[in-house]
Amino acid sequence: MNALIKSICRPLSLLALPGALGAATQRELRIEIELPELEVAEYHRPYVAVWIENERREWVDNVAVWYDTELRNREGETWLKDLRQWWRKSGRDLSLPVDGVTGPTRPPGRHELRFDSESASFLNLSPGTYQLVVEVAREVGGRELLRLPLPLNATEAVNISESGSHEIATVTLSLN
Amino acid sequence: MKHYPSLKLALALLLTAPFFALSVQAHRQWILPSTSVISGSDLWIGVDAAISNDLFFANHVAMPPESIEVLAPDGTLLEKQFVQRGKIRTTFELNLQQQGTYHIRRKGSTLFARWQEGEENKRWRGTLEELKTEGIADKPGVEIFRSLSRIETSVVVGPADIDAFELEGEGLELLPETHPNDLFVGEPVRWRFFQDGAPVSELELTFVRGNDRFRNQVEAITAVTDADGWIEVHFPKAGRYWMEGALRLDATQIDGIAMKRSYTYVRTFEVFPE
Repeated sequence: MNALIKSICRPLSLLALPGALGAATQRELRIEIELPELEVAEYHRPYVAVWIENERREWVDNVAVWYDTELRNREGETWLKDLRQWWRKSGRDLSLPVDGVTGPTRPPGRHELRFDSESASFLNLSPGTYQLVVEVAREVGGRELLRLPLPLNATEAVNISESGSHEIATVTLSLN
Repeated sequence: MKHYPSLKLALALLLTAPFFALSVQAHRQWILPSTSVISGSDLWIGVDAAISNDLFFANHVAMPPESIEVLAPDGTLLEKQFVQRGKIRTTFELNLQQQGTYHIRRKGSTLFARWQEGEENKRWRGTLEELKTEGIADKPGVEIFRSLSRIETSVVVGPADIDAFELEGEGLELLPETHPNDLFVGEPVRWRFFQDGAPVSELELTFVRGNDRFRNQVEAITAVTDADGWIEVHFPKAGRYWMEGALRLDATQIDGIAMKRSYTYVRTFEVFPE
């Protein structure tokens, strides 16, 4: 299932300046996250946060957050703190849900997210060194965090893949 | 039939230990929340409070629940619910409805005195008022001690704002630059300590990770405050930690009565893996 996710436009984002490539450059970012099948006694779909950090590991923008949005009394938000790094860097200051960012949890398998520079402000960030961070936390399970370089100023197509060891199978990003 | 010494006596002995015992007393006071970083709203947490040797296993004596106060982010006192005081452990639960930092703390302020009447060693413990009305300051060769202790912890719902920490200006206190509910392995933690409202230098802080029962060494970490009261620590391992700092101060005049002072500061907190 390929969901075309529109990123939220944050009017206050001072970082979303047109980059060196300019707004004229059409860029597309594809992120594929593979969640592993796990042989465990009690399986819950994991919470997943995907965000962008600068070279100082400061939060820049949210890409996607999957959590239990269907529970009564917004009880799913109780476990967002288990996405520890995302929670401290962004989540605790957000008012949820965030349109275009938050969504329900997903089953094991491959999930693709697509963004283009027209709809996703983070593809127009000023030139710099960025990382895509993926954090996964599973109820009564483990937690894992992967960082991938996000070379927004690359002039050629980029394909980067990182493998996880337990809660994440792989994360692949393609920037065209 | 087993005979248990009364809690009051146990506490009295415990609190007087620094002054009357030659050996260092090993008991550690702690207030420990079931969780300290919280998302969502209208939640419950549990709190244990005890004085024990092991961290964090109650094995000695409970902390009196009435001595513990809980401050909500808006500064109001929050009611402790389901309060249970056992022999070795006090427990209660808290319903957290506000966003921000909650302070859970015990402030102790006690006077001790000792003197001799003939061959007999006399000991006394009480408040400043009692000290005056009982004329303790006039006893022959009396030594008076004032003990000020703060046993603290905090939990945070949503935003972790260090403005939630303020000085009261008495005893040992902590003003954090790094929020105590936002601590991770591999990241520097900068905290500043104060004595009676002024930065305190050369205060030694001892940090012990919980679950010490399952280690052969204490693995204590120590840090000493610099000239401006700062320490910077890195925690090598995730877990629950207990921190203590203590000062012995020379006699000072309080309401015209000379007293030696003992200040203690204790805090529990959690450190998370990256």
